Amino acid sequence: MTLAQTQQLSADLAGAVDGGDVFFAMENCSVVFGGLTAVSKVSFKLGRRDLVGLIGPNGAGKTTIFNLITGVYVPTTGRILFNGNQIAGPVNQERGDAKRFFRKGSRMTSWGRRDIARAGICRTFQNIRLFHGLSVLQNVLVASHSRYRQSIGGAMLRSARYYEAESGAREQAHALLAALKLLDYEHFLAHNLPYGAQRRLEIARALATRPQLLLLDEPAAGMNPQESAELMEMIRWVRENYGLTILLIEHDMKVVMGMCERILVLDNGCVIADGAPAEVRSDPRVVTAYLGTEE
Amino acid sequence: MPSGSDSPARSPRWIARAALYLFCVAALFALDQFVMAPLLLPYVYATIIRIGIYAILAASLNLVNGVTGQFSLGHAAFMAIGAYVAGAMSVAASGLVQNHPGWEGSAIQAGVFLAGCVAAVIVASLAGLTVGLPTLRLRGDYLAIATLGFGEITRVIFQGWDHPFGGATGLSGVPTVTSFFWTYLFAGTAILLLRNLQWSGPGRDFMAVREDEIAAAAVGVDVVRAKVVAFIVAAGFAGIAGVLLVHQNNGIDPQQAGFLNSIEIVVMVVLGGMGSLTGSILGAALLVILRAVVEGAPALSDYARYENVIYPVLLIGLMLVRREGLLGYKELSWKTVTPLFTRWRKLEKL
Repeated sequence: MTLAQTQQLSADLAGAVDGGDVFFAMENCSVVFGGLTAVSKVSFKLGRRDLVGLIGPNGAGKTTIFNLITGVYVPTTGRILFNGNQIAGPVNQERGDAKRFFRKGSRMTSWGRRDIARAGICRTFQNIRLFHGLSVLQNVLVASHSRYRQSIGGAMLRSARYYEAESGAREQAHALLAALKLLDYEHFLAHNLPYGAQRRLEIARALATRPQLLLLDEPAAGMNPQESAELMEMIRWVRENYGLTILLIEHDMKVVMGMCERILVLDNGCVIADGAPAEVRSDPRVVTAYLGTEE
Repeated sequence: MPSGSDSPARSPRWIARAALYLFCVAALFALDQFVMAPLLLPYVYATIIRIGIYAILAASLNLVNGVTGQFSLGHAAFMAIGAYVAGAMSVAASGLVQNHPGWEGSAIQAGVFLAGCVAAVIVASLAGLTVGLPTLRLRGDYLAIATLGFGEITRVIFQGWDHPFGGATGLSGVPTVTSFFWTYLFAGTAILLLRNLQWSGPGRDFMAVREDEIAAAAVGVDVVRAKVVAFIVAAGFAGIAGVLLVHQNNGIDPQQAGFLNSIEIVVMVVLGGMGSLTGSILGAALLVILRAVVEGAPALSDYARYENVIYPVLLIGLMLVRREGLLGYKELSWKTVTPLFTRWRKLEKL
């Protein structure tokens, strides 16, 4: 893409986003791996305290969208805005940028995963990624570290500020463990937890970063109906209590339809429907995507 | 569960803690003056000092290899850098002293020794930074190879550096300063600091990086920074160990920066249990004692040449029988030791 085109595109997009008061917006994002377009021109917005479901058949690009938002992938086109900042998208080359020598004009960039987490977007993983060798409490404490900062020297010498940060982090961690009914497991290794508790611990760990936007990747996967009902209740409670925006991927339609106020349906990397559960359920395109067409 | 990891944070009591520390220092000094130095055989005394030095090396390498989950094979190089820097300072100082009669005395030697410690920590940490920044982006085997290369480069550099460092024959004429007191003052302090670091916020970051880098980054941990910091801290402590070693052996030769020495420290960490601080200290003590017995006992002197067979055999045996090392992730503490006795006492009552 030439510089002129990119600038034109950015200008168009800036026009589309009225000002900086958008909480979260994904604009015209595509991801291309070699010849495969995993996500194609996806645009959607999220408001504060929204609870939105992201559904679609396998391979539709749901997790790729999560990876885009959290900085694992850099979008091929488009941009992502969060709290008035562009966290991924085209950036004009600055003087002194080493990569300027190789690619002139603007290039696509994304914030690092850590910076995005610290800015207030946190996620859970489809295949649970806990710190298995650490205790449940330590898992949560790791995530609260960016809020309760400790210096290396302070930690080694056990300074007063270290104790302050540590007790603050522990207080928060205990509150989260209590909220997610994990307090009984506090000193267990994460590895030894029952499956449902591992899923809950992942949510607790994500919450410890104090996110504004929480991305849940199949939180109810592998749970029995009773467990997933409890989880729905818990997610709703978390949203109310912490004032979060939640975007969740889920295959269990009962969970999604029962809980989400709005549903985005993805198929082959494109958003094919966006609306309330009832609308989406009756949308012919969604039915086709899930069930196929009559010949 | 590692003990101490989840104990609630206590409120700081600076004065009491400083007083306790000073008391321990004084007790250590008295122990050295009145018990260790006069009563022990010189060989045993030297072996006890070596245990302390290798405890620092193993405990600091444990921070990188065990806690942060990286695999460094160049730890002896940081030790050698510290040893050369402080050794050269001591040699230069003793030259000065000879030209100025009336300046002799252990106080001046000790002062130069302490200055050497500071310089060694700074230089070794800087070396850690320069090596760590580019190499710690590598994973697993590649990092091991890169640090191995760093060790060999260090060895070759010191081999070719004649003027202050003595070239291929090494540095000699370093005065003996290292005593039981100095060794265990530094070893105790280093272990205390490493323990504090491991069970704190930054230490949890290190462990999170070991467990899962992707998840660590996703919850806001700066993965590369955590690795580099662990590497720098470990290098600094290795520098201190080098200072102690060079002032015990009266010198150092370039071979000590090389591969074999690094492997020896790795074996200590693996033997004790990767990630266990007390385990690595235990590993260091066991291997130093083993070596001292093989080299020192007259009945075994014929077998001393098989020394280098011992490590591999030990490692193979350990991997077959107990892969996680003697202690695994566990730590030795009163909490783990006292139940053994109480259980035993209960049995006695029955």
